[in-house]
Amino acid sequence: MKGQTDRRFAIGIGVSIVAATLVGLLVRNPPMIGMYAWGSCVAISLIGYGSLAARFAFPGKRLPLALLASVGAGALVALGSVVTATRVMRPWLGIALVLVGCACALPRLASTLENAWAKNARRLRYGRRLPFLALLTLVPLVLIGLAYTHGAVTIALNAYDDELAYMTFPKQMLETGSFADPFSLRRVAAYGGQPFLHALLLSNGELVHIGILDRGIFFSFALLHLRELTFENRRPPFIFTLAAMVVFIFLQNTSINMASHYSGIASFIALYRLLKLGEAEFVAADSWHKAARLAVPYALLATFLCTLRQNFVPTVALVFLAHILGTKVRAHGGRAFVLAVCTAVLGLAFLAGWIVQMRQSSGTALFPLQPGYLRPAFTMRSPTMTPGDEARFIWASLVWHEPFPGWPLALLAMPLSRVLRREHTIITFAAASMIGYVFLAHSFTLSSAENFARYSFPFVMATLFLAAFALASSGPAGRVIASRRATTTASPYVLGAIVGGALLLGQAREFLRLTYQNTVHLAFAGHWRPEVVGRYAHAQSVVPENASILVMVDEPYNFNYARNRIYNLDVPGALSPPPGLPFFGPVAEWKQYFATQGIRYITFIRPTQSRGNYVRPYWFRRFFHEDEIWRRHAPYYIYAFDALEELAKPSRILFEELGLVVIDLERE
Amino acid sequence: MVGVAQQRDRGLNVLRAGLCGIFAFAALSACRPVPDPELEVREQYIEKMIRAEDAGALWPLTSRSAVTFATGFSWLEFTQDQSLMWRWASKHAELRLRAPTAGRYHLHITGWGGGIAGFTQKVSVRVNGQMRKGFEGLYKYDADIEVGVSERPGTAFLVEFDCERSFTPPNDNRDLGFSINSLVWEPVP
Repeated sequence: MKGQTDRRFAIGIGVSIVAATLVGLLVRNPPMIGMYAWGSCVAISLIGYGSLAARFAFPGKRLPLALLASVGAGALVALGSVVTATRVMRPWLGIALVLVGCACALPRLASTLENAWAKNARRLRYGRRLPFLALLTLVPLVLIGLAYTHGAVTIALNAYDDELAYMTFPKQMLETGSFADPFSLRRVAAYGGQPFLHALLLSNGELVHIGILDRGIFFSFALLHLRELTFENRRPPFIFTLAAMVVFIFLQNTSINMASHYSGIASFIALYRLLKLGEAEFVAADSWHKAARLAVPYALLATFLCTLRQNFVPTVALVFLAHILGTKVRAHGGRAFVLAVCTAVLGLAFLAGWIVQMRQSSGTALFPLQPGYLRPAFTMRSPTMTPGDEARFIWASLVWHEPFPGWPLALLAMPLSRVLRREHTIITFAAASMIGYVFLAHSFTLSSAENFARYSFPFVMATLFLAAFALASSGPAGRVIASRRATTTASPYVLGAIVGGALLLGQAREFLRLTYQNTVHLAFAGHWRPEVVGRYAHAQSVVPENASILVMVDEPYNFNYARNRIYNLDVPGALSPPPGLPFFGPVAEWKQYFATQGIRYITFIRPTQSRGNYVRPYWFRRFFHEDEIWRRHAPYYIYAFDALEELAKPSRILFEELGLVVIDLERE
Repeated sequence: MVGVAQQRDRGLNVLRAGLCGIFAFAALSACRPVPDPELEVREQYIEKMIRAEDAGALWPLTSRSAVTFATGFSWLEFTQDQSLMWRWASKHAELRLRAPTAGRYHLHITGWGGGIAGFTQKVSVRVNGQMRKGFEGLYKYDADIEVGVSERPGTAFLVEFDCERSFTPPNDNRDLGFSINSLVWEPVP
């Protein structure tokens, strides 16, 4: 009977996936509808790949969906490492990868739906007497749906990061099969995990909607993690879970672009859950090869996290190091060694393609420890800061940490709690997060203290939420409302959340208003700025096919990367292949340098007509900015603006429209 | 046995902490500041650009078509929060102005005298070659310069300042006379 129901659910899900794929392929206008449907397929495919890995490492066990999704993302990114390093990535392959993942997810989703159906049918029967309680159980589902919808309908493009670089990366992957740009600073900010998942979305969706990955898909998975979290088979009281989900959903989003934010939080929570499950499996394993199997999901999740942001790498490495040396694992000496070696070898193997690509593109395998093509002036370490200044800087950053000032300090307080001391893995996370935070601050002293907190947000917030849930779960099991003891121990965290929540009530209203307004607006909206796309296509058409073009424009994602080799000077001077783009000397040196790099054509936006990053007065003012980082960058921008204008004077102007200029350096 | 196990655990905990410490130390050490070979040439470029483009054009104390800080005026300087801005003038300095509308105006200026060097600066003023009432200041001065009647908007004025003395402050090779911290046209009723 159960098998039949499962099959019915599997058929239903399969039909839905095919329908969503067709909607993505066929419903091009309005594009939001297509991405809403296709985004669901991508989310399901993450679960599918995670299921495969789980079947191998945890045979016969049902892993939670949110955990499967993060492990699955690791599997996809490991595949991405191969398909981009071999330059075979194309839209059809992206669609195929997603559909294969969806197919793998069918059995797991069908059984989940079957279970949920049976459980909720009981609740609804019970709910005839208490309809409010029955409805309450549906609230988490509504919240997750709301989070996904919000991500799907929010087009929050940052003109300085997204439009200049993050939107070009997935497009470049799909059009050239690979991911390389030796002149781009943002290229070295991560190995490429997030752009690869963006490419999967773009393979059957519209570019401006790829932000759904972080703000929709992983936002929802992070909420699902909170719903699923258990500690030693204890769940926190339902009311607590609900409150935490509400706080999380309305928490100020400190992310300013489409780089990893919620994907980081979801995956750090997943890492905790995987290590806990793995530890139990490891202890129960009766042979070394059973233990070694755990290395597969470990390495996949570590790969995913390491490809999201470079500053996640030390935190992930520390967490694994501490876990392998942890009491329960360490006690099985030989097997622990095998697990450690297998995890490290597999992790490096999964990352290999990304490392090779970054090395080929930007001359570095491990940025920023190995600077590669980075100009020394663009390192993030202040050369003038004394250790005392740095200590004050780190303190200030901890106190100003957004969205809630001072929250990282709670990491330091965790070992004081008896409950948390028993949760070794959370203490490990707290220590790794703190060290990761200090490492980040130490390497970023050129910036202002409040500017870099968002890079640490994922691991700091994940650890804090885990701690709060562990404390709330410490009371008797099966309660809807927390026990007195659990309430007392969790109260500082809950109080913080309530104060924060109260402070952010306006934000909650804004969140809901924007979701509603954007949904209504985008449901009827056509393609985004077609006239701009046309202008770029026209500009590119005057350059011969296969010629290399250096670009410094507001919307480089409008170029066709398959037609020409495009070098994006997103932050002038930051990165350039040896011997390095010369600055502050005669402009003729630029011409010589580009000739040595095989670059004959340049496309740039005149700084008088830029609508985004390349506005001359904006950068001139930054000569006097209070943050040293901007005072350093500004002269390179100003020099680049002037140099390009100078180069354009004697060169043949092949195209000019609304400040978008194409020049041929070899013709006058 | 328990005691031995506990001791071993304690030892391994110390080892774990030590390894984490070594890892963190190695990572932090590897992130030390890199020498910046372009520092000097970049600083020179910044100074050249600020002088050439007159960064003051971006700020209230501005050189623009209506007010030009000409001969003898240094670049715009200001506090970090930009609440206070100023330009230093040398012993002789020239200011070119255009009256905003027809009418009688005073040019109201404030600034610092020779207080840094410990003397009261005396400044004589000429407008279009004609001597006007000058001003003097130790630390702060506050002066109204009568520029006369303008027939029509945009009438040009050349205001020349001549200081009695000049001074060179420490860590600065400029020869300074006085500063202008604010400059306002004030209609005379």
